[in-house]
Amino acid sequence: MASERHPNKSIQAALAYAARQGWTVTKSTGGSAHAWGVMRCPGDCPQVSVFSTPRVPENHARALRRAVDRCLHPKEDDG
Amino acid sequence: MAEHHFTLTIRGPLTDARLDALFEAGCDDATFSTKGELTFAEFDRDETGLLEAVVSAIGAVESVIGAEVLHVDPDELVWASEIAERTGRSRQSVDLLVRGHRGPGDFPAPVSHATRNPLWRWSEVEAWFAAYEGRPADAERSAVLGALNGALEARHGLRSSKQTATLRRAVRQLLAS
Repeated sequence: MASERHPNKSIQAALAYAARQGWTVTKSTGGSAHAWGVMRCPGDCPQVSVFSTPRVPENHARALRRAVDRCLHPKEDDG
Repeated sequence: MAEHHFTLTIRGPLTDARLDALFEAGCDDATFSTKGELTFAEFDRDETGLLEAVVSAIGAVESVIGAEVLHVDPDELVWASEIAERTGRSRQSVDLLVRGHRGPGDFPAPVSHATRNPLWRWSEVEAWFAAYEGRPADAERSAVLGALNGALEARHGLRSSKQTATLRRAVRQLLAS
C-alpha cells in the first residue's frame, strides 16, 4: 500500500482495494498539478491516473474499482 | 439531467502536462488511463442526454492541443449492484436471476470475475432483461454511439487520406442520402 493516503475517503478506500488485489499505487512526485498519483496492475492493463480533486470523488472511486475488477491478471490474494 | 457513462479513446500517451490540461478543460469528471500510444477517458457526465454528454466531452478533450478522439465506447461493465439499480430491482432479486434460481435462467456470464466483484456487459444484461420482460431491447444507445463512431472514423479517414476533397464529397453524399 502507498505510504501516503488520498485525502478523500472513497478514493482512499478504492486505492486500498487496488493494493489488496496486487496493484501498485504510487503517489505522484509533483510533475502534475491535478494528479494525485497512478495505479498499475501486475499485468499489462492500462496505467490509471488518480486525480487529487475529481468533480465527483465517489464516481472517480468507482471508476478506479472498476479498473481493478475488470483486470484479468491473476491475483495471489482475492480478498 | 442524468449521469451518462462512456469511454473515449484518445490518440497519444497521457503525460502529466496533458492530464493537467484535460482536467482544466473540464474533464475532471473523467478517469484517465493510458497504455502505449493511447489514452482512455472514462466519463461520468451529467447532461440532458447521452448524445449531449458525449459531444460535450469530445469538445472538451479536443480543446486540448493535439488531443484527437478516435472512438467512443458505451459504459459496458456493471456490477450486480448497478444491474439492480438500473433495472429497479433489489440486489437479492438480481442475485436470484443471475444464479437461475428465479426466472428463465441463462443469465449472461460475467466478463470478468478475477475478483470477488464480477462485472457484466450491460448490453448483454439489458438484452436478457428485455427478453425476460417481453419488451424490445433498447436500441437508442447503440444507434447514437454507432453514428458518432462512424463520424469519428470518417473524420480520421479524411485527415489521413491523400484524396481529401474527393473523399469528403463521397462521405457527404452518403450522409445526405
